[in-house]
Amino acid sequence: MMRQITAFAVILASSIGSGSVALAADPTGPEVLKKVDENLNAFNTGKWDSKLLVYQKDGRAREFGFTTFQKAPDKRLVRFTAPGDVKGMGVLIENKETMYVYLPGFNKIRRMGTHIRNQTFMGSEFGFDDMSQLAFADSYDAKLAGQDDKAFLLELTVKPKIETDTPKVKMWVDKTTFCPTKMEYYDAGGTKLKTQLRDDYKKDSPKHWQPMKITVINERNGHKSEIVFLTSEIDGAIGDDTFTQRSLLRGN
Amino acid sequence: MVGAFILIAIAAAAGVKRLHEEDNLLVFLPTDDPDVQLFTKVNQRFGGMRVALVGVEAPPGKDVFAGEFLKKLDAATTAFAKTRDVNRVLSLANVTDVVATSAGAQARTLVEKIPSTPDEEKALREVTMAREHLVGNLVSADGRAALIMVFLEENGSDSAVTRALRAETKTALDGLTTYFGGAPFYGRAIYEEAQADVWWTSPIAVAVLLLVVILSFRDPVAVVLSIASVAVAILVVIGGMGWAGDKFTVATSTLPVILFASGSSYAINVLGRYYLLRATLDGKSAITESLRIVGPPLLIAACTTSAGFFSFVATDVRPMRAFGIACGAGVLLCWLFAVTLVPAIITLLPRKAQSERRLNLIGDWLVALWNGARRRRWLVIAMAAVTTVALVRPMLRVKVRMEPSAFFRPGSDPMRAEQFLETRFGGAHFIQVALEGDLNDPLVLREFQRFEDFLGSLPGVAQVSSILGPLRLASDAMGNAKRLPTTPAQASNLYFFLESETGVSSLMAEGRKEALLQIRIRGGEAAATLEAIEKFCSTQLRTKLAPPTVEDITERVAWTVQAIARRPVVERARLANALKILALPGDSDREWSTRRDEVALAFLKSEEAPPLDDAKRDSLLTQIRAGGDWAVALKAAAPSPEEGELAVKALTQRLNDERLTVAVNRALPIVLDATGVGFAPTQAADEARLRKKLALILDDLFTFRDAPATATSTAAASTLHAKVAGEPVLDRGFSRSVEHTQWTSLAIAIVVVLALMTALFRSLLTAVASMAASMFTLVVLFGVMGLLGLHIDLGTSLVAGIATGAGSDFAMNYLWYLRRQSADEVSRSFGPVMVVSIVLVSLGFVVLALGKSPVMRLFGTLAGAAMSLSAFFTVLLVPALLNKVGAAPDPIDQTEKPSRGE
Repeated sequence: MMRQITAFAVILASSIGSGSVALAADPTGPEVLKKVDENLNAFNTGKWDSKLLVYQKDGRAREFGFTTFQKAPDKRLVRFTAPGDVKGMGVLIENKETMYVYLPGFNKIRRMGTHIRNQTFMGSEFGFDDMSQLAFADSYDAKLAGQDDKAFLLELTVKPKIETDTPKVKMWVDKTTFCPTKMEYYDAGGTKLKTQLRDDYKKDSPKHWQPMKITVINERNGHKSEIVFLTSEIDGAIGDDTFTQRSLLRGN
Repeated sequence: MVGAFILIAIAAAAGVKRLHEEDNLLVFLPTDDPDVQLFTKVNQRFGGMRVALVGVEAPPGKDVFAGEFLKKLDAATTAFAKTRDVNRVLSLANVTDVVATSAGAQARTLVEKIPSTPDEEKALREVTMAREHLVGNLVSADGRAALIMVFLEENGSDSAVTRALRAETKTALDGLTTYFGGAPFYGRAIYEEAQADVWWTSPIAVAVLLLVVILSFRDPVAVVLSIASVAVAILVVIGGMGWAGDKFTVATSTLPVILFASGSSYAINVLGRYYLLRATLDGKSAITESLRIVGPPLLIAACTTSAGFFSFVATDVRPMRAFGIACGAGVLLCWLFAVTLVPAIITLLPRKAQSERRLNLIGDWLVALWNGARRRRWLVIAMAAVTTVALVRPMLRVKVRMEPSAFFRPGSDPMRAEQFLETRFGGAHFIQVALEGDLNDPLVLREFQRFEDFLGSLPGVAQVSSILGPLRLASDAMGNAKRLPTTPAQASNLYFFLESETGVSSLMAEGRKEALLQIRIRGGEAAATLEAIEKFCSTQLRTKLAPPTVEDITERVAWTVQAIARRPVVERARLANALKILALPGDSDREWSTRRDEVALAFLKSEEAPPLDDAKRDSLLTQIRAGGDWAVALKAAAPSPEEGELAVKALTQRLNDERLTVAVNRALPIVLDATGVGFAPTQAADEARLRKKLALILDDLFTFRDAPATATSTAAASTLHAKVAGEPVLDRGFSRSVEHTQWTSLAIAIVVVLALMTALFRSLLTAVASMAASMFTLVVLFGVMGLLGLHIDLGTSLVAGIATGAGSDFAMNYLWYLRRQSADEVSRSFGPVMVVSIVLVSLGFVVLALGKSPVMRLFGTLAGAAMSLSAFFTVLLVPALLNKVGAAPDPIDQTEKPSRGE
């Protein structure tokens, strides 16, 4: 009896620590994924200062600094701050259909096709969508494929009519934080294309978990890139005027 | 003794199991050649320099834009991309296109959706055929054939990847006519054909030898011993290669044939003498006496023959060095087993005597030939001298050709593919140029472009790819009309997006200091094109860069006209003058001022401008029109100094770009007229292409001459260096190596054989006489090759060494026996044996000529001819030269009638 009470108390305590109500003993895939999205996207506005490390063949890393502004549901602004040859470059996503790029060398803002959202850049393995938070449930259906004492394993399959090079994803979700720690991306033929690792989760608001490091490894050529989040500010005062072409242009 | 041989054979067999096949043809490249080293280095840097091409024809009545065809093309492209050792794949199914849409500039795949209706097919056809970088590159001009370019990884296995690509083609492109071109496929086809030939001709060669031996001995033990002595030698050699870690190549696969041809005569000679001596001696004495008589000449023969093979150590092609050493060692082992194993077994199994087989017909013929040559020695010597003089020049004309197309059999798959690619796509061969320079620097990029313009003017160049293409596309996506960056910042901004694009890493290395130009060339003009490119790189490509001048622009215009109109600009001075007087429109220019107002108004209304009311906007426009200091007013109107600064920069950029556009559009008809090139109405597409290219060149003229402030460079001294690599350069290095190998191995063979003969006869003159026949044979062989226009390849380069060594054997044996017997006796006893040996050796090589592979056919024919001719010239030249070289008194002189003139 005492043992059962103790066990219940442990479960209750760990649920409170995660800042969420514990799920049932065997949750479904959609339930886990929903929880993941909630934890990762539990904010209205966000601002992150980060650095992107692109590892070269000789092991050295090229480093880029950037700042990301995000406002639910779709607005995003990414601005590069370092080094000098990319400083001032920016990408603005006003909504799902509208995206602009600013290249200071041309003194021009250019509207781009939304294909560019998933396009990687500077030889890294990250696209613009990778540099901000997204909800997985918007694009994928989830199935619980397994679990151990530390993590759930979800198998995600892309939803109909969503176009992506990675229609299948395996996601390991930490049982304590309900945040993904590892993701493997597969193409339609089942070949693994990328592996993404998320480490050093910190709670920067009552509900939001932020991985402070994301690593992506290209399984075809072994290339590795990392994003390290230096600061994370949630639900600060970020107005709609941040997500305008003028803002993109002026770098504020 | 027999036990020892059994143990050796077992050990050798274990070594054979360790042997692996070498299927990488690149190991046949000479490692020390600078061109080969450069190719290897550049390939390591960029990858994908070896390009396999898969050509596909649309079914009759359809073209490549039909939905069904594109589905298959897409499936094949995807399958190829997933194949191991493939770096990247390019085809219509995955090529990127940039289009302007209402949603902005879109970089997307050309075929985003497989067309499912005739209208969709038509739309795709129109878009594709309007893209000059695709027509003649990925789709033929008539739209009925498509090309898939498969760039291979640097250290991949050609054997495995070409096999995989063929298998995927069979699945994905089922029902369509396909062609496999490019060096990887060609190399494999040549290799496999040669390999197949060796596998089926070798048993025939062995069977022929077996027949000859059976007819010679009529005793199964002798037959078995003759064959076994060679077979064990082959086993030991191949086993030794396995233990040494060498690999089995197509050259090694000819080893059995060569050793059976060259090495079987030793055992035959020992046994032949044994059977004769058994008539008067017991078994042990007979074999001892046999060895005493034939041993020394056989040893020298083995040494000279193996010297011919060992001379291959001169080559820097590792597998051929190993092959030469293996053959040389094999010949020596054949001799060793003939004088050890054979006597050991024959002692255990003594045989009955066999009467001497006098092949009287052959003997009579040889005697007649001998006597005739002696009587007419001056005539023989004179004819040999005249023939030598007549054939020396053709002999020196024989060239080494190592490019794959030199080995294509008419009607073969590689030949069909070569023809398809030449006629539909302008060629299947690539030259690469590695450029070193700062690719952020606009001046470097301009010089790079200048080089490309020159390349386009060469008739042998079908297509050029470089980082400039994606750079221009990216620039166009940014609304910059395909202009190359004019500042390092612009270049840097564009690379931001480009560096992750598929294929860019094959065109530009990390760090942006090295770029690779891929140049597709027409096969028939490879040598001339290569020469032109190398000459340009060494004499005309500028290493220290400066902004382009009018002269530079004139040159580029002339090259571009040559490339598109295929006609030269005859009056370059007129063109230069026309360019000199062109200028940017002034502020009072009506067309320009109208455009200026439109651009300014559009900008001031956009979100990029500071928020302005109508009055402020109108005021600014008035200032712009009046040429006043509108920048100050615009900054003042902005909410912050920073925004004001950005707005001024942006508007200035737009106005400059528009002024350039006006200038270029106005200059185009003037420049076209100055080139003197006109186009017929049917050439509207060519004219449009020329206009587009000229516009970009004129853009540079105005930017760097008239608006230099808008263009900047990265450094005070921009530099650019180029190195030419690629398959034709590789082939040239290979040819150079083969030529070097031929002469060096011949020199080594001559020196060694001469030394051995001198040691044997203790007379240099006699040694020279013994080599005369083989040397004359080489003159005749290569002279005839020169007359017939035949070329030397890797196999035939070895014939000279073989002929020197093995060919000298006959003369050496003749002279050896002449010192002990009369000429008549030698001709009737040794002569027929020699004839049988010659037939044996020649047949062994000639059987290789029955194969399909041009390489094997030429090698087999030449080697067989070399053996036969050496023997024939021996019986002709030795008697003719004998008196002249002061040989030991010839017993024949005492019995022969004196000939006239002696």
